[in-house]
Amino acid sequence: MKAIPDVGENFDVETFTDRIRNCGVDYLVFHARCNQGLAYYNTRIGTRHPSLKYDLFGKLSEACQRKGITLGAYFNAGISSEEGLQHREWTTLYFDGRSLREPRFTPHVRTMCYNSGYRDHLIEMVKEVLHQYPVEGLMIDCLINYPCICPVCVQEMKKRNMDWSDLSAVTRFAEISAVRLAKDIAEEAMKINPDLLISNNYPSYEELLGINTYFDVVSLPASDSGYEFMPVMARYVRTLGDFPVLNMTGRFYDWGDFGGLRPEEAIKSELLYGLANGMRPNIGGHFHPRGDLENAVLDRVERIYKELRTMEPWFDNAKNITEIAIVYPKKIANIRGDRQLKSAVRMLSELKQQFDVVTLASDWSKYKVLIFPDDILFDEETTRRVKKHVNEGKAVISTGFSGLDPEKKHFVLEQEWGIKFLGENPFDPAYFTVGENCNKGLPDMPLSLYSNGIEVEASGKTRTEARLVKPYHNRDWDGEYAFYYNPPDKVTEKPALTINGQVAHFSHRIFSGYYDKASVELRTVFSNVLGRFLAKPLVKTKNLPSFTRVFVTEQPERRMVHLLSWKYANDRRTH
Amino acid sequence: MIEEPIELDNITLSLRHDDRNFKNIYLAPKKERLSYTLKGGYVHINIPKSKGYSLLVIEE
Ligand SMILES: [Zn+2]
Repeated sequence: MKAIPDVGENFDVETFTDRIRNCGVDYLVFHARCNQGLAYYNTRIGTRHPSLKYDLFGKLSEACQRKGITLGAYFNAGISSEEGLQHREWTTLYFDGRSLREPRFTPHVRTMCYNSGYRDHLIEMVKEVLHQYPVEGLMIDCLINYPCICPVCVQEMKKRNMDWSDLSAVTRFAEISAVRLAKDIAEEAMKINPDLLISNNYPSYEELLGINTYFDVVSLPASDSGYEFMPVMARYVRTLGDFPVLNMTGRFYDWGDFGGLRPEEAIKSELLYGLANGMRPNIGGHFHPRGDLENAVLDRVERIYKELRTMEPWFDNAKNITEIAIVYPKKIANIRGDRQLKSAVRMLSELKQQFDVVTLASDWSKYKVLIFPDDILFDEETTRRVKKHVNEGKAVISTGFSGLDPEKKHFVLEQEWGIKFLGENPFDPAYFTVGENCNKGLPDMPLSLYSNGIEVEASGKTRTEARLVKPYHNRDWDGEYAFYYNPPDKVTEKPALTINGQVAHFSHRIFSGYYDKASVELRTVFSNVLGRFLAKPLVKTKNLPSFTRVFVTEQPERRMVHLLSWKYANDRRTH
Repeated sequence: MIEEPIELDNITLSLRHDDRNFKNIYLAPKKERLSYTLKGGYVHINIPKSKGYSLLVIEE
């Protein structure tokens, strides 16, 4: 914050870097320029913090070099209040003509246009730091696709035939601009240091392939992302290629929280989750601007890293062994947030299965089973791959609307699925009853599906393994009564689960249902179907609770099995 | 929020051995040896106790 009157006053660079080194830190990312656009080094281009009396970043970089700590320079690209105040034409312009966000109490109150003069300014600052200091890494944060309709952006959108009056097109253009800026920064930076470590944060990982040399997955489980975000990202990012991925958690509870130090077990469990998935540990802090040494924080980090380092030989370059893929060929925003994906990841994790989350960016040929959760409509490329997979005798489990064409008119691989699409199923609530081939461990009664779905007709030799049960009435209000209590009536002939060779299809969106209700019955029936296709999974366990997570990794001539047994309390805001 | 590790006991973990000849099975980092049996394509390992995190190593 610009208002802080004593930046760097208490900073003891020797003690700080000694402590960092003793924690076992080999890579430290420190702000050259912060989220408010102020620099902490001697700049001729930007604005050094007005209360800082010396070259703080310079001093730090010199000490890091002397002590063998690789230093990365942090820049925030998307937000920079100081520069936005000095150059109002550098900030984004919204549809209604505003350049400030409402409500204004947010770090994102003023966001930067990647096509304005700010673009060259930022590139020049990066170059300045790389020329002046022994810096070996670069983190460019918040390259967020803030929509902008400033004249520069509008002109280019017109040239590209993009609709500058449509929010989604403008947002897409902002993303293109962000990735282009990331690429240009990387190119200029590599000219100065060809071995530079580079992580741009925020555009989709797939668009940053070839630009980033490593990736950060940032997750604060106590904050907005919750505990179901990292499990999805850990299994997705590793499928994109062979590069270092850092698992960044924080010592604090939320951004801007200077007074939080989360329990040792919380931070450690999150880092171990990453390590069991090939991700390197990274603990984020909020450095006190006065430079106060935060011994309590450093003590905790040191204790955690000391323990983790005893196991380093078994983490080094270990790769996860997986045999199932959850196929999710959607945008990064969906991958980050979708409920049915989180639910599928949770369900398979509880079943101790070894799996990845894949998009079209990776090869699917190594997987024995592909799972299509709830709403995966098949485009041409997905269809081609699935057809090949099934022809090779490998298995598919799809649920709900998955497998339909993008217009939701028919199953794209009707022959392979062995069912015909008849339309949406009106039952609300929908129940089902499972036949003897798939009912192991299930109560013998009509069970709730907790979701909507479709109606299908089984063809040829397709077996119907479960049937829908109609409710007496649908949920409704008839002017006099709320139809809230709607018991199951009669079993229908409508299939709820069909199996044709190696392809199983659930008529309803059971992963959405599992997200909403965590119904153990839905997990059990899914597990029974999976067990028919994958009778010998990589891992089987006895006496492990559902919350224990199991991962298998591999190094030459040995395999590691990681057991993680922590459970987060639901009594505070943890999602 | 996570606060405490959970302690479990008498766990059996079976790892498909995929035709590899695993023989050295221990808990890292202390290299505590674990007993195991081979049956049905799996190596079945008994873990007497696990608190929070266990790192099981199966070497050829
Ligand atoms: Zn613009």
